[in-house]
Amino acid sequence: MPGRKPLKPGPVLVFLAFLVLGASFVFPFLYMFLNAFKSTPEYYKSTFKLPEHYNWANFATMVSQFRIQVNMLNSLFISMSAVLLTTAVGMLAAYVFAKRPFRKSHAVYLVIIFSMFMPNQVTLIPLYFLYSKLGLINTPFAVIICSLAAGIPACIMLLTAYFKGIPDEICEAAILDGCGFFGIIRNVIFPLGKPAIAVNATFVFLRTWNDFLTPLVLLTKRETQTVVVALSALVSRYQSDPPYQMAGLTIATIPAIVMYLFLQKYLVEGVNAGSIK
Amino acid sequence: MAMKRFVLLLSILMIITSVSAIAQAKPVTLTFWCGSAYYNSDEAKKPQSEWAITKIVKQFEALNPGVTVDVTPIEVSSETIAKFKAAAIAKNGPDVIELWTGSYLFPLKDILVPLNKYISAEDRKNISGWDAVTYNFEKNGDILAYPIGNNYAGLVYNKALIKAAGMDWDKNPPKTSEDFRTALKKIKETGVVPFGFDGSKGRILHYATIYWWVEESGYERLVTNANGTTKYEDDKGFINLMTYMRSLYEDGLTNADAATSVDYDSKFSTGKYAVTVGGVNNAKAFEAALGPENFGFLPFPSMSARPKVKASIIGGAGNCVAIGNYSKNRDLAVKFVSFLSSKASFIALTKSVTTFPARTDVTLDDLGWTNDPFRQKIFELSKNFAFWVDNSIPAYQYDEMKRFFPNILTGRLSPQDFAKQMDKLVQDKK
Amino acid sequence: MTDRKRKELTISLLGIAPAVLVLLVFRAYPIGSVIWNSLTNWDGLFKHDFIGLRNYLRIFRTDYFWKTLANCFIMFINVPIQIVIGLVVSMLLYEKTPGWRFFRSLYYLPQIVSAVIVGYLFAIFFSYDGPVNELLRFAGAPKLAIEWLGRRPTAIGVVITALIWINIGWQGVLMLGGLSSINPSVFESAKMDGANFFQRTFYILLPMIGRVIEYSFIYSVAWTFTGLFPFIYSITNGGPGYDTTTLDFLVYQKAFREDSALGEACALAVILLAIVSVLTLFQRRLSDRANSWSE
Repeated sequence: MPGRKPLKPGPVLVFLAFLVLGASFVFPFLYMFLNAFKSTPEYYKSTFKLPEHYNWANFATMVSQFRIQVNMLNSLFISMSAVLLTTAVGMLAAYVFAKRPFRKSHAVYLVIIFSMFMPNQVTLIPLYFLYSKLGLINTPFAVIICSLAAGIPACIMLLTAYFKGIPDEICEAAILDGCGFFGIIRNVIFPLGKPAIAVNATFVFLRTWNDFLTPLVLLTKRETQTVVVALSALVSRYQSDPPYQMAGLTIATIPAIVMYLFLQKYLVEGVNAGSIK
Repeated sequence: MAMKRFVLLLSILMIITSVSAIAQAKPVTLTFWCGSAYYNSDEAKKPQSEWAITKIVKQFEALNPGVTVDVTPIEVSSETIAKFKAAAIAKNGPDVIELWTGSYLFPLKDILVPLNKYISAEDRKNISGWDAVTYNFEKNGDILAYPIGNNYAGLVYNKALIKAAGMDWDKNPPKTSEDFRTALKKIKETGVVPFGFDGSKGRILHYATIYWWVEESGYERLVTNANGTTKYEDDKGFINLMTYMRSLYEDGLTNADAATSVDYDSKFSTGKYAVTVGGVNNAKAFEAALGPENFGFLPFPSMSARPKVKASIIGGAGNCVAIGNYSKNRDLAVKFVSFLSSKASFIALTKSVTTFPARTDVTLDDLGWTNDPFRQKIFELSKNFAFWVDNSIPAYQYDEMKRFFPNILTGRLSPQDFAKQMDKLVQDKK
Repeated sequence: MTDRKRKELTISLLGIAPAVLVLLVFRAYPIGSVIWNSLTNWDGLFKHDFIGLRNYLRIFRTDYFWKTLANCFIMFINVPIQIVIGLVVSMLLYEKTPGWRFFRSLYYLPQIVSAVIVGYLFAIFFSYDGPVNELLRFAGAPKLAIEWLGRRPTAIGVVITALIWINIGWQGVLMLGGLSSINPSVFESAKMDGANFFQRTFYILLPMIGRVIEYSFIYSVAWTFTGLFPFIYSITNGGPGYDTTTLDFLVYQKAFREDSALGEACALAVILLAIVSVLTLFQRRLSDRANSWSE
């Protein structure tokens, strides 16, 4: 074994370290999922054992009594609307910033980017009173607009950067073909910008789905709440029944995980593009 | 010709306006934010159509054709009150809302209807707890709400575990706080947690033990502390209460997680704690779990040598229903609130909700509690009760106590330092 | 010609108009409003008088504000730790350890789950009878099975652990992206020259991804000021006392939980805004980074 590969045990150790770290990421979710099947006495007996029976009663309770599906639909509607609106508004602006800059347009761009980190806590107090005056509390619209305002800066940043990479010649050719403003967006920018748009859509969806503070403040009626907000009601209502809590948490987690399995590629790209977490 | 057309136009207009006037006059919707005085935690898990309050509301709708009541379940909390305020200044809040009485209610005076001239003589006579909803507890002040649930609380215990420690609190309850400590020590020897509660949620304070403060100091002292004319720092009752609770924790007589517990009630139900705080509202669950024969109520052991207040139970009208002064259906709202507080409604409600009706004309017989020793005892004790301390002091001051109580228990903040902190808070607020 | 130009300009302006309009109404207006209201004694109802800087002066006199600010700074510990762990993870991933794609996906998992859910899981795990204490008791160390969330040091520790745990994957993916942009031949030749793992790390990798680390650092610091709300809400609720309250949680607490404090809440929000704005000014490189993406 002369000196060529002195670090032989290295990869094995690294692999083991990865496994241990990986286990720390799997365990809480596994714990949550498995304990969701238990009855309350069984849970209190031991939280680490596998459930004796895999009965779905707790999940059924979440649907029949807590009506968590209503909240899931709210979340879905709000998140999808936020994605569509953010993409539409962001794409228009990003196209202008990338391909039709005018005097001072860069300054406008910088101001928009600067607003990216404005904390929601700051804007939420006046917005709450504004919405209240307009009677928009407890409507999905209130949350969608907040999500839109929060998502536009990152969206514009991402799309502008990407659209800049689209060769000018293609746009010019489209203009010669008689495309107007929207024609170029439809025929050139959107098809060629799809990867960045998908990255942004994934992030906006996940952020809106997982957002807590804004819907917590703006949606007070149980049947209008998003699933993440409804969880806080669930946790306090089933304070002494952890298995029910686990079932609810599991149900709320599943859509995000499913999305993740399909759209992982975009997430990785998004992170590397300096997009929002 | 032109004239004819004008008349035709005019008559069409008149028809339209009158039709729309009828259409507007007919269906009226009352919005009602209803809290836990109207539904219990078991009901909360079921669809709203099965709740007792839904049936009562249906009756009201049947008696008042064209009226629908839109019931939104809420949890009365400082969050809800903040949102109610925002809705009220935008004039789109609920017509009727459940709130807490006393110092929680008074700051909302500017957005509530003063009910003095609306309350019928009959209601005034038969409903109890009017002083808890009268502005600043003044004699002839504005009445801001109808009192509803009467909850009473104190110390509850598991008879089997007390017996196992060689005691019988039915015959020989601990009379003083030192007796109580000795008893807890005896229980500890048997291996169960003597006294379990949740210091982080503040229930231990507002449910129960805070009584020891007012026993020594009296209610006037609460008011003068709160407005800064006297100091918490030299309020013996306040310091004694905190010191006592700290010493119980220090001696290991409480649950080890008293500062963060969220499940003290299920622990008590499963026989892990011998004593906890409790009242009418959680008694039902405790009885169901322990069996009625094992569930006992302990009148407060006395801590003070010269008590200013002598009661064995804390409670009274803690909840109330009020009407927003922006409501377009003020008279109807009053009618509705009065209906909710009628004897029949209360009796129907008490089948599911555990609080006692806020009425003087309801007997144990009406409620079907003649064979219920626990409720009989409470009913008896409630003739001499101490009013909720948290409803008697400004909310921000009680919030501070609730927030720092865990630190006092665990010894990170001494009762004296905390009292000084309270005084500073009062001064800052001025 | 000028007519055409003007028309083109109008179209451009119309293109950015929706975005600008939304931001004006839902960002600029509230910020203006919050600043104005921070100068009043607004109680959420009809009391709404101008009182100058009195809210700020009062806030600076209170203990809870300084404690809260101190908490925010203590929470910063999470940033270097998550960066270091994320960096190590990314470098190991970069070495193409078997199964690295799988591990990358796995580590990123907490990022896509709502922070509140993660918070509730941590609260359950570190509750007195929770799995962590159960393990400690099982391992024969019942003395270590303490009330984690009942004391300041351990409660903050739990929150910080949650922050690190949830962010390792993000850091790993981010840093891996930075590493991937390094020309592999530099790295390979160093390997050939017999540089070991640590030498490769310190002399080649770190200097080359300095910008990514800088970005990550500033971003994470800003995030620590504004993104902790769901964690605090679900794990400790700010308690015991103000021991784990952070500035962003405090704004919510004052505005939506306590009575008569909206003026003060607005002043706290302005303070938070000022801090975050200063951090954002440091962040100019952020847009540069994005610009380099398409290359």
